[in-house]
Amino acid sequence: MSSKIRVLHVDDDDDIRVITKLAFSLDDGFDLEQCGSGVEALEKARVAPPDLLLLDMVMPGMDGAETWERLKSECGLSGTPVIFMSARAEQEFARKLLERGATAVITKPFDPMTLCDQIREALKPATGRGPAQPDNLLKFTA
Amino acid sequence: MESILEKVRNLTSIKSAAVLAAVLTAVMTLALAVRYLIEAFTRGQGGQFFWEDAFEAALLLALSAALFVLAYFICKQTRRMEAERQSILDGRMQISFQLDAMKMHSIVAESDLDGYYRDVNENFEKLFGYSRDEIIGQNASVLYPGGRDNEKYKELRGLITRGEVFTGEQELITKGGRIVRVHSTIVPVFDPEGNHLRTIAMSTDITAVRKAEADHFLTVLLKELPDEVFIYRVEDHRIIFMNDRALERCGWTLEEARGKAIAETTPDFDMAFFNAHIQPLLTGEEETVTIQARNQGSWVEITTRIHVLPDNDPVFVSILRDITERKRQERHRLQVVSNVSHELRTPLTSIKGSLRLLKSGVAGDLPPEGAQLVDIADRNTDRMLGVLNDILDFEKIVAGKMEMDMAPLRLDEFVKEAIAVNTGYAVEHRMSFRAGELPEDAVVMGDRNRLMQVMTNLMSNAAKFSPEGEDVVISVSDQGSAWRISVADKGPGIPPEGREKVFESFAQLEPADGKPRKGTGLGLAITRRIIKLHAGRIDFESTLGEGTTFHIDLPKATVEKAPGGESLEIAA
Repeated sequence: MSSKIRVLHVDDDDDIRVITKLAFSLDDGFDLEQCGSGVEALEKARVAPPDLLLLDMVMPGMDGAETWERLKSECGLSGTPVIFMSARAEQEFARKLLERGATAVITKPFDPMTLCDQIREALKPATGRGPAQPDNLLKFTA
Repeated sequence: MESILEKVRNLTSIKSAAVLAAVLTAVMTLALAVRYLIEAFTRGQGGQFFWEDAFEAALLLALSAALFVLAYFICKQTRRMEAERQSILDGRMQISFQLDAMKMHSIVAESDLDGYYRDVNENFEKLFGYSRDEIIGQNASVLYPGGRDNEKYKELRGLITRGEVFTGEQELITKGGRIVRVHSTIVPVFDPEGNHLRTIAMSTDITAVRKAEADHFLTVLLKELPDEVFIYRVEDHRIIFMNDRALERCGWTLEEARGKAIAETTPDFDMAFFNAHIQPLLTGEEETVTIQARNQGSWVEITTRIHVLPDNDPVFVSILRDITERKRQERHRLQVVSNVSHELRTPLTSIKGSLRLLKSGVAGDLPPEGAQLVDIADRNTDRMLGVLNDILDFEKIVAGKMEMDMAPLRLDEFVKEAIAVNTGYAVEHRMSFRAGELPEDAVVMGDRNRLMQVMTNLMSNAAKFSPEGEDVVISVSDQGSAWRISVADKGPGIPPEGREKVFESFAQLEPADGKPRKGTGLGLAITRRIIKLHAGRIDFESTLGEGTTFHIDLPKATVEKAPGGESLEIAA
């Protein structure tokens, strides 16, 4: 059995999916599965439940928050960590997601060269604030 | 006039004498005629009638009648002349009374052809402060601010010279330098041949009238202003005046309001908030302060300043404006800007991600020119993101939506981190950042990300303006109740006229060295707001040609050793 972290990435933007795929190709600790909508994500999660959800926030139809809710209720993923990727720069927006239980919020644009490191950082158990956090990573540490 | 009336009077006397003479002569002639008539009947005997005597008697009778008629006409004309004389005398008396009344009421001055005073009345002396002896012989231009160059004076001289009359208002200056407003009628006086003899100016002081009108206008304006106006004493915050709008909301009459404390004007009154609002006025730091607050379900903007009443009693004047609608529009605009920002960030994510991957060689090695072009594209994508962030931040500030996530912050670590984070600017501008004094006990309460944004703004500016190879020094110093972070560069400096402008939105100063630098002009406006939200201050010192040092003062967080433990307890 593989020790890789299985990531389900959901983003409606084809280009961002390509860049994210390339970013994950730089790190062999992850196994990436991608799809372009919440509906597809539900189908894929039913077949193979992921270890980590990487969700775009703003998507047509079912947005990231709704996708997350349905993944939790319909696919039994309530214990699965979720990292949102959002082009919404407002801290308040990120804080709301963190308050609702998100593991972290990565603001777009993200650096593909350090994306996997940021995810690893976010998945570490909360140990207080470190000396330097990447600019676009907001992590729930309270 | 005097001699004509005298002549009329003399002529009347002569005529009276003539009438008397004519009447006497007529009577005598009549008597003579009667005598001749009697003689005509009586001189002959036996009823002989002397036609000769009768004829003489008839002639004398006719002469007598003629004399009576003459006396009658002379008498009639004399009466008419006397009546006219009396009427002229009455008229003169009237004019004399009116002239006296006018002189008592008005400011009257008489001047010669060239505008030199020949006479003035008492009112003139009283208003302008010149004695009669002092002003006579002086030119009227002394009463005009600026003298002969005064535009009004020049206009009036032109009118008078052309023989025209002036009626209107003018502003004149007294001997003591006080400006008075008068309504004047200035009339040139001519002789029957049309020669300009002199000029008479009659004026009324309307300074008080105009001031009263202005005061009345202001009172009405103040009363009917759609904003609420409160005037209350600095000493004990007791209300002196509230305008109609304010009284209406509070449900008071002005009499009821007087003497109440300002805190009683709303159930939402927050004394701590109020004290923080007025503090800069009491310290003299600001002349006017403005805050936004929630009041009984609405958003209001309160602007306050200190005013000193004529009796030297200092009062606060607060103007409270309902900005609920403005807030709604600001929120809407923020939403639009936020959406636009999101829409632009999504494609920028792809562009920036692609460029980063290209630069890293994931897609294969790039030829040197290709790498240079990718670098240019990458840098400019960052600039575009910077602009987007600034605009979004600025809109948040406008909408009052910028929130701070406060936590204790050790400034020594924070400054070292800021230097590490901003190394890219040092490399780009071929200069370096150096840490100066960094006390280990310097701790403030702050939003780490927002303060880092401030440091990035100040440090990137310093890097942009720093000469190549020079250091920009970042240090922390103790300022009593605050810790000061200083960013000192050796750039061209900021000219004094740019002092206030640098913190304005979209301000781009003309650089002292003439070299323009890139930027949105929003950075320092945002920085100032972030510092203000930390209850701090930002300022700078600059010497042209030597450099600029920006200071940020942040209130110290109180640090106490927890009993029996190593950890620090920090409270704002």
